[in-house]
Amino acid sequence: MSTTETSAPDRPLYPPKPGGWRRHQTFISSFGIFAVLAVLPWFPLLAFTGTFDTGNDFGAGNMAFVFAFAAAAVGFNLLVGYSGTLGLAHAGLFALGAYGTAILTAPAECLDFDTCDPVVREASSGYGWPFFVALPLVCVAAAIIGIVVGFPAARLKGFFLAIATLALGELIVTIIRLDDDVWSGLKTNGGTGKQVPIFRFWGAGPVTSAYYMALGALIITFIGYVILTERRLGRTLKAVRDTEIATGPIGISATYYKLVAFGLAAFSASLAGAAWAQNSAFVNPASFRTRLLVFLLVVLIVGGLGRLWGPLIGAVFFVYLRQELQSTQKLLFLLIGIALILTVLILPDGFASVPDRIRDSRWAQDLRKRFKSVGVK
Amino acid sequence: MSKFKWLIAMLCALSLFAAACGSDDAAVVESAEETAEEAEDAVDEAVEEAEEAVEEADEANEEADEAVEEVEEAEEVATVDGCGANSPDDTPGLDKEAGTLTIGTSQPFTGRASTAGEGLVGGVILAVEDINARGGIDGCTFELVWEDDRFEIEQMVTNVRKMIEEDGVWGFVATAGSQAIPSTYPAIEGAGTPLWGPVSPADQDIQQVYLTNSTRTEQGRICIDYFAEQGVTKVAAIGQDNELGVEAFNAIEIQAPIHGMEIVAQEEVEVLSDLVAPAVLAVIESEAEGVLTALDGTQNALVMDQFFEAGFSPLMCSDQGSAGAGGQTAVGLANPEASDGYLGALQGSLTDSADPFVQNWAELWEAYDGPGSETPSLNFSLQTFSIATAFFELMDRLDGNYAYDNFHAAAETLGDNPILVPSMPPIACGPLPGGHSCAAGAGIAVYNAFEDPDGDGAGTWVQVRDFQAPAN
Amino acid sequence: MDQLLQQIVAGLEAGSYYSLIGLAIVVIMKSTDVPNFAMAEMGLVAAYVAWWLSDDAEVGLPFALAIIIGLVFAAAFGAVTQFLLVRPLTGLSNQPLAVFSSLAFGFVMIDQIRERGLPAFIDWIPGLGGGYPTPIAVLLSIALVPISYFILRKWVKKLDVIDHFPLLLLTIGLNFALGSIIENLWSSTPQRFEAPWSGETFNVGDTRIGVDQLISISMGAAIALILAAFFRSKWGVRMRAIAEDGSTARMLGINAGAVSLIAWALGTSVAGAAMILNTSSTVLELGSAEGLILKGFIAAVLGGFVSLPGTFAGGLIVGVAEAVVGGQISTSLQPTMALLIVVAVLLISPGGLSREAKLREV
Repeated sequence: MSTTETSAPDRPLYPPKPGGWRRHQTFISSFGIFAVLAVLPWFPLLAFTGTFDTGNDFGAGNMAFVFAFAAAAVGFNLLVGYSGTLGLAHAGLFALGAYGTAILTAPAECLDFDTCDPVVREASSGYGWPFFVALPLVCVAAAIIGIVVGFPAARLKGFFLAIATLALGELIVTIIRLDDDVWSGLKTNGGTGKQVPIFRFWGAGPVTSAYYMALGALIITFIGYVILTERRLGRTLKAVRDTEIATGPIGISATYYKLVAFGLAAFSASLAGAAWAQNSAFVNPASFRTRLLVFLLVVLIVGGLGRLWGPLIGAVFFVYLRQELQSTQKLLFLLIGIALILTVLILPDGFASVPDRIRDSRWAQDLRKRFKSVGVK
Repeated sequence: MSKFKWLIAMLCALSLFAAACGSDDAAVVESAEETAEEAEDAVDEAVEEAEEAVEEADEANEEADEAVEEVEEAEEVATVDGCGANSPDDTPGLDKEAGTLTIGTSQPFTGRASTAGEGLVGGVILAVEDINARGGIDGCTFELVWEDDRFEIEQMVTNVRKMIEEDGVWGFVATAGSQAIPSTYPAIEGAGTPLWGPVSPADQDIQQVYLTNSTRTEQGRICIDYFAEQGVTKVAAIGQDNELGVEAFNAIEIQAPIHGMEIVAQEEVEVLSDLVAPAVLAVIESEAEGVLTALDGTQNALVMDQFFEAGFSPLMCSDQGSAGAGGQTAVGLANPEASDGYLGALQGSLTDSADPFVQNWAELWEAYDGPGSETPSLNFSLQTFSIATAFFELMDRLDGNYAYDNFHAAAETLGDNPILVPSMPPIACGPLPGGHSCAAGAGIAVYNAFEDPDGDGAGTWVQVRDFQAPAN
Repeated sequence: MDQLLQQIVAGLEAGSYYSLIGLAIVVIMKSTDVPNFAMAEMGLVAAYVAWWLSDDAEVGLPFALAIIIGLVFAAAFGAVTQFLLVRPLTGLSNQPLAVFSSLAFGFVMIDQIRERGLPAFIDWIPGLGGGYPTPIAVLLSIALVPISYFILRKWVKKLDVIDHFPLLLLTIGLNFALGSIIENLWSSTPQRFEAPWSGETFNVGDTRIGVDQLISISMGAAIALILAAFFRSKWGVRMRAIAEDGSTARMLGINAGAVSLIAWALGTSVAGAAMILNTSSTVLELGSAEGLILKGFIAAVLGGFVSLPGTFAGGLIVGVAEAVVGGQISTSLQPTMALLIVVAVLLISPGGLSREAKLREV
């Protein structure tokens, strides 16, 4: 960022960055955490939780769902939390990633029992592309669609934008469901759902592959989030969020940056959706309706809106709660509801705000004063 | 022993011979008498010896008998303590010391399919309790692990993985009501875990999966066959905008041309929506004489009511799940005048059938108070009870060898010797491709809203057509 | 084409439900600025209560009495929700919540003791069971009640600024919890909610109209008119003042807490009326609310979140469009109509249909 001549040239535009290891604090902590997550399948450190016992497919599958939700929530966080734009089409974009990769990578139709092994009926057929060719394409396409979805943002604010984007997201899912009637070339197999061919990493099992696929999606979106929020784009988005009226006169087009945010959010949503589909092995339009959006909102808000680790914490919380309380059956959603209500009442800013709350709380401040008076820094 | 008899016989013959060939010479007579006496003595001795030998032989026989008994007892003991004695030690779900085989099932116990799910769970638990109470199969008692999947894909996949990895189940029985079953295919193919039950949507090409009931498409086709028998020439379909509707439309498109019927309308209704009016009005306008529906119970009731209010009375038929045939999930919500004459396909017998098997189930269900016991929709319970019973019969035929290869070999040769559960069509699976669709055929039942023999305030369902395959 | 009138009537009926839920949402928005995701579900609870009271197999009260009690219940339910849950998050006291929750906790404990027996209950409490002698364990259990009171009192944050996301999450949690409560209290079996006019129809020319359709449409309009009148009344003006400029309104002596309470009571009873009409005309089941909440929000958006006539008209427009397009063109398009309409309207007129709506910052 170039410094411009001001009347006080020795006053910096931004506060000085802390020196030493603190400067790279984010990088070090995130690298550490992701390194641990990457080796979990071999060292099931979380086996005591039962649900996240990555030593077997059950636990690894649950963690893969956590990562997929977290990856989607990171993009959601960028859009809703960081840039303050209520773009709620996330579930539809998630569906695009899931369905897009499923359709493009499904094998071509092959019905002759003698030559084809296995037989591929029309319902599970697709275009037979390699996975890592289809994936970037689908994500870029989703980003473009996300920008289109974001166009109303130019004129709509607040709840209006929320409902409009929500409707557009639902529309995407509805179009997927209508396929057979409207245009059969899309091969979405309509309301029945489609089998997802699972990409295997070098002979690993399907669940292990899904685990790393989802972890990869999370890492990519996370890195993107960190870079974007710490660089100029992030600061601009924050400015747009906080004082949109003021950004116009200094030449920042709020609309442009909002559209960028929409595109990036859509990219991460579709990436997460593709990873989710690898884990679920089957996609069905019913999974992507408003219910999914509600779950993503829960993950985001419970974790902490606008906070770096919010999505991951929220995803862990949600998946863990949902699985651990399985045995209560009819009481499951009652207990989840109560847990959510209590969480929001006690921690309205989410779990990721706990360090800040401790730091800002009265007794921590007292402690600091005591230390200072003793002369310890 | 026969040797001694022979000896005695010979001696008798000799003595007779000697006696018969005796000369009149006195000396000869004397010597003959002497010889005879000697022979008699010898015979006596021989007889004594023979008797001794016989005694010994008897004793030996007894010992042999005892030994055989002991061997048999040992065999029996070996079978009871060694449940699955003929199975490899690493057969999943088999605990030879405890004598148990663990099976699993995942059902939509809560959530939007819970009206069916409660009965589905109850039926499986009831069947397992019943078979255990009767001593199990070949010395094995069955342990059931069941999970609720709320009709969601994520939960279904997670449940199946949990049951395979953590509970170590041998196989899945009667896992029903969930369109998400294909999501479990990688897991069950990877572990080789068989899945035995009504699979929806139908996919006959997975080695581990056995479809034990007719598909919705088949049931729809059988509805159309019934329409044809009643002289219907114009037929319409109303389906949900998901795979239920797709299967109904498939059915009508396959079967109507076979009978030379005209398809006059195909309408969709949104899932969970009560706004069935546009579809209803379109069908009324098309003047269909027979209507095949693939909706949920509530929507079926609304359609029936609206047809009735319009004075429109076509034949109306749905697959068993949609019609709730045998129960009140659809007809209980409609006007009796509207629901009278409603037809439902039957994948299994009605719950008030006089058949002893069904009566036995009814008695057991009365006494049952476990999960799902309070559901008013008993037909689902009978359905999974029957599927589980068929499963146990198949396991019985394995004679304690529960290796998966043996299971598949036995299952795929059922065509020669089908499993006959009285409340279901015969189950005759064959090899792939296509052979894992095991039960072709369904029946048809009609709802008589104004006949209430048991005085419970609701009408009765009566079966009007036997289990038959669709016409070709 | 002769079906058109029929379809319009069906559309007006469905649209009445959408607009009533939308009106309920707007009433609460106007006063507490909370997008109540649980609105339709709260109404559904009231509908279940009304059904349970009126059904011959259950309590068997006369239909009119059951409806009235149901609506009163809805109002009380809304008020209680506001009092306990929403107040802490809108800068008011958390005392009622702490008291209620710790008492509820105590009741749940007593109920569990009754059900399982004391020894089994002690084993069941995580961390308390096993190893503790009975009297100590009992004392610890009893102590949990005041402990939870103090925890809630201290830690439930009282926000000064209304923060939408926590409030949204609150209503989402409420939605989940209510769905589960209904399933546990009344089972998941769909029920027939018999009204005295169920099944009756009459003819206008060639068109057959159900009496329940007529009642739904006319009650919807009546309620909208009542609400419009209310908002011109003393309390309505106060409500609008709080919504426009809360701090100034408070300085003028308007009791924000009381206004909010009334708004929630009113909104919930409107939602209750909507669900009672809906379920007595179709079927009463757990999923009755699920499809309606989104359409209710769409109707509210069409009314700009502030205009009652706009919301009412918006809901009806969506319903009629769904029915007519679904009937005339293709039933497959039916689910898309609501979505297309809201997007199209917002693109043309960013504040919704109403002229008085202003663009709001979140």
